[in-house]
Amino acid sequence: MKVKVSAVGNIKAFVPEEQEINLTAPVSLHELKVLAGIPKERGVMYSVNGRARKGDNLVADNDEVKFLMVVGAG
Amino acid sequence: MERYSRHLDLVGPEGQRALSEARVLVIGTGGLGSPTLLALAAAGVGTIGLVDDDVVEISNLNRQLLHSDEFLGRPKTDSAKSTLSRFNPDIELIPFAHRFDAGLAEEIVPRFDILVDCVDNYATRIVANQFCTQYGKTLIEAGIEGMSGFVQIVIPGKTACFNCFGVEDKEIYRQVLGASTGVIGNLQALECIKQLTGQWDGTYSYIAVDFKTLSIERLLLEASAECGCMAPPNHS
Repeated sequence: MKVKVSAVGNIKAFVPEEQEINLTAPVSLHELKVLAGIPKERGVMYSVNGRARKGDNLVADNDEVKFLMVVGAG
Repeated sequence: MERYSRHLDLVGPEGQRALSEARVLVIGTGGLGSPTLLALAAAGVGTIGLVDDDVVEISNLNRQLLHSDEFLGRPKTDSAKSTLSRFNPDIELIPFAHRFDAGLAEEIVPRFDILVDCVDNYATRIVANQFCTQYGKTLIEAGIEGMSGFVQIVIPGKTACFNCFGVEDKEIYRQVLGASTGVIGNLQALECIKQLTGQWDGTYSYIAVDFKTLSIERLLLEASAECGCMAPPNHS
């Protein structure tokens, strides 16, 4: 199974370029975040194929996942 | 109308009428709220609700342009109303010196057309998101984190809301430059004005700004199929 991952905003510090990740079994978005190099404790939001998703959803073959910065100060 | 003559061609007479008849609720009158409110008042938004339960502190004054030393220790809503009414005396300003909790939201959200969320905590963001979804109101959300910021346009049932992502509370990094909040707050006001004047083209709902590289990214984020925001609003 292959998924494409990329980051938006300050999450690019961890995932500067779009990359393809090969998986031998389905993983959750939270797990994919760590596989992509983002620290587990770092909060992000997930978009899968342009749709918002919660982190416990499993990825599917050919998904395009974006890691988005989460809200902060105001 | 002469007050608005330098933007009248951009919004048109119908757009200016829409702005003057609009009722916008701005939650938070601090770093993001200050530029947002100044821009909305300058554009001639007819009725603006101001929600904030804080008082003006000296540490606010690196970025919160509505407030000044003379208002230290006084409610931010008083300070904001004073500054904004001098800036544009033709608009109505309704202060709510109260935390934006579920009780206040239930009372006042139905009275406004659109909400602009300028707060710095998750609890209030969750309440704003919940009541905008419930009443089918558009919400302009934003946040800053260090040298990055974003604006998110939440249209219940169409674009992704806060709950669609299942975001969990986390420690907020509070270092922020006034110039950065100025950019994001003005972007919030711009997107609010575009919503009110029918100028939003629907091709994006999330704008990320990197202040270090000055790059801007736009994405259209559709609502999660499992989220409650996809249901019709409970109230009209």
